[in-house]
Amino acid sequence: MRAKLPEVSALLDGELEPHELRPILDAVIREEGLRDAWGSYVLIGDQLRREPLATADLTANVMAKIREEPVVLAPRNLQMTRHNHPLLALAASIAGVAVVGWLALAGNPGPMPMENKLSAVSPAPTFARATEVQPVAEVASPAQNDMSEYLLAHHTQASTFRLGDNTQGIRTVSMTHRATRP
Amino acid sequence: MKYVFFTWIGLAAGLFSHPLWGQTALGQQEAMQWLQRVAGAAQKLSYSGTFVYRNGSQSETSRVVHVSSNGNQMEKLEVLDGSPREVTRYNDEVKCYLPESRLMIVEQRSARRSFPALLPVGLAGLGDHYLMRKGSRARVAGIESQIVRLDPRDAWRFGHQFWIDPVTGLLLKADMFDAHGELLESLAFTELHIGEPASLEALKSSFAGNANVQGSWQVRQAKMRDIRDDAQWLFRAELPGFRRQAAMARDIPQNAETEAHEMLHWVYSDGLAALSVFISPLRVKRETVDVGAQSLGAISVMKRVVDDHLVVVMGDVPPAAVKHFAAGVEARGK
Repeated sequence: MRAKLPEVSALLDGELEPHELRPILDAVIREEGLRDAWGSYVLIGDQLRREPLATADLTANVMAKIREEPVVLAPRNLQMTRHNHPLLALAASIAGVAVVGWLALAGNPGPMPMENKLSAVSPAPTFARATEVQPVAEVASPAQNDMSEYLLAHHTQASTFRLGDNTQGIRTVSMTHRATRP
Repeated sequence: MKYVFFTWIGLAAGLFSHPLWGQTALGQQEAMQWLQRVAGAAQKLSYSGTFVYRNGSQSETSRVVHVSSNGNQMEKLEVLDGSPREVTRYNDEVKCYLPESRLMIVEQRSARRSFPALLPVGLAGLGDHYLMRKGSRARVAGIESQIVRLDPRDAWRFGHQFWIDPVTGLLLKADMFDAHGELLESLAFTELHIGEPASLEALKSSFAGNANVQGSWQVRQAKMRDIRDDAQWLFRAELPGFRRQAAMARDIPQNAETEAHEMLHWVYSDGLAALSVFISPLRVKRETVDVGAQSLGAISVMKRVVDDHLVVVMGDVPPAAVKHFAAGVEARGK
């Protein structure tokens, strides 16, 4: 399920190619976890834009309507361009939630190559959006990042009982910073 | 005569230890209840505030915004001292912005390993390895907090003291200390506001916008997958109470000591302290690898070479613990 989260994110971003729509739509319909993710992403997007909150069970509403509208999944519609994304339009209209922002994004030019890489790990489209950072490489600075790589991995993965998750974050950023100093 | 002596010793121990044991067990139970409250609060509450992180002689002030909404956890940490650094988190995705290095690191955390999910197992065994006591009350960030102290029962872990808000259950301060009672690390809120921030824009990194990113940044993203077949390696010196929480394979970029390759990563925890084991193939001659022990604040590290692989064991445990664990790492069949 987790492997498909980036595609759900890309779906909301309107970044999928027409031929990529069918598999992920099928997966969203089939897997409850993906449906929850869909609802969460929409809700968070709304909140970050300070738009009216959707009803509590957004996912259920959206998915129920999608099921009632099989035409959305018809091949003819899937051939539409990203500028007129059928599922996003449907979701916006039937759920009554502010997916307008996503529709606007769907009209944007295609993503840069690196954006694809970033969106592949970004389940939160509006949270530090991939399009907002323009990286050039994933290459680490060899010597400096030696221990920082390990520290970050350790702090992020190791669950410990300390100030909730905050401790991990602050230890991560503090120690990683020191470890990467020249 | 010898038997009489030991009989008296036994009787005396039974007589005096029983009431004491009862009191300790009660204290353990009460302390455990407080910790369980903390576990729930960290997941449910939204809050913002400022806190100080001390590690050795260094200290840093940071601001945190944490929002819990419809089961989603969103968070931003911003270091206020020195060079600006930020960490944002959306559920299991953590992004670390290091503007001085023009570096953004993206790390995906596995949901089943996240903090509260670990608790039912982790907390249950804590009493076996820590002496837990409910202490007095003390003010932290203007709040009269409840102190809970955990002293290790052996030399494989550090001690902890927590200050807990009795109303919300939120952890206000956390200290970690060594066997001599020396403070290793401390986090303490100096100001705290319970509730959501006025604007959820506060959760966005200030480095995420185009306006703040001049030129290009390096982006390093960890790609990983859970592994089941890790039979290639044996860990013969596991630590009491530390159970395996995760095993994964990570894609790492090339660095000074290893090729760009898959690195295996295991996580062990006793519910409080955590220990990571990393194994990756060597790229350079083993004689040139910087092996041995080192400490990064409260984090102990041990590096050694085993079967042409670099083994790195690290954790918020005493140096002896990582050395012990690392010494037991073997390649199967070697």
